[in-house]
Amino acid sequence: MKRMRPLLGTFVEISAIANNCAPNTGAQSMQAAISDAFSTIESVHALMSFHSPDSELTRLNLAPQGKEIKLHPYTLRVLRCAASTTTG
Amino acid sequence: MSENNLYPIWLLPFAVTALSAYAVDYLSTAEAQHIIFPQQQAIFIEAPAKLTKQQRKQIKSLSGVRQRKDVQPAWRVEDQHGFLGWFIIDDVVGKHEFITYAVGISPQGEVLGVEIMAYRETHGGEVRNADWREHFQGKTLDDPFKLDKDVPNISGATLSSRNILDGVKRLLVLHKTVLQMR
Repeated sequence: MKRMRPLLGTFVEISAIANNCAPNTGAQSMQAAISDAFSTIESVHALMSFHSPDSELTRLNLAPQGKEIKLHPYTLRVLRCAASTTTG
Repeated sequence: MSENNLYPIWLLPFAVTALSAYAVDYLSTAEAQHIIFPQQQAIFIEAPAKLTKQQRKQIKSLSGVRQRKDVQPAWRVEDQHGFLGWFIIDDVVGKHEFITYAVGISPQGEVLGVEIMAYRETHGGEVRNADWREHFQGKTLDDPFKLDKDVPNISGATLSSRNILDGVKRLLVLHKTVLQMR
């Protein structure tokens, strides 16, 4: 089964498939798994949206240079990944 | 595909159009209702919002978005403990997509959830369209290659996801000015 929500400035589609190990996975638990996955994406959206005035990323962007700010591990990971692909 | 091969050659343009159309149905009304309102005993009472010209004008002026429908499909949601909120179905016409979505709004006017129910591409055949592909002809990596400037942008997902956020804003105004007044 598949579901879609408007997130991250586009459409995010998540699908769940019952595998061979658990062929009797009910529709309800699959819906619950999709809902859990969406709430993780929603938390990423809330942390790193640069449109949102109260996201962690906006807070970082507005902070004066040199000020230390505590960041969520997700945000740190994305920033590290971005830094590693940037040259110069 | 194999069926289309049986058609005479003069039918081919129609076959291509049909193949490029893309539609996904994600949720039925009942499924969307129970995802947004997961309460076991929730019942959904159909209560479409019939809007006067005056009300539609007011919604547009407060939300900045035109209220196209004069009857907005809506359900009052209750369980044994009382009133849970409203379930509303709406659609958005994007650049190339027609999207049906559902919104849950609490009695206090908070968004409880947004789920896409159906996603249909009304166009999408452009990539196959020779007129559009012509914009790429003779382009090299040395050419400036700006979307919308050098090549018309045919993607609609960013636009229509923004349209949904505008739609939700419009439904919150509809809730405040019409549904909450009931």
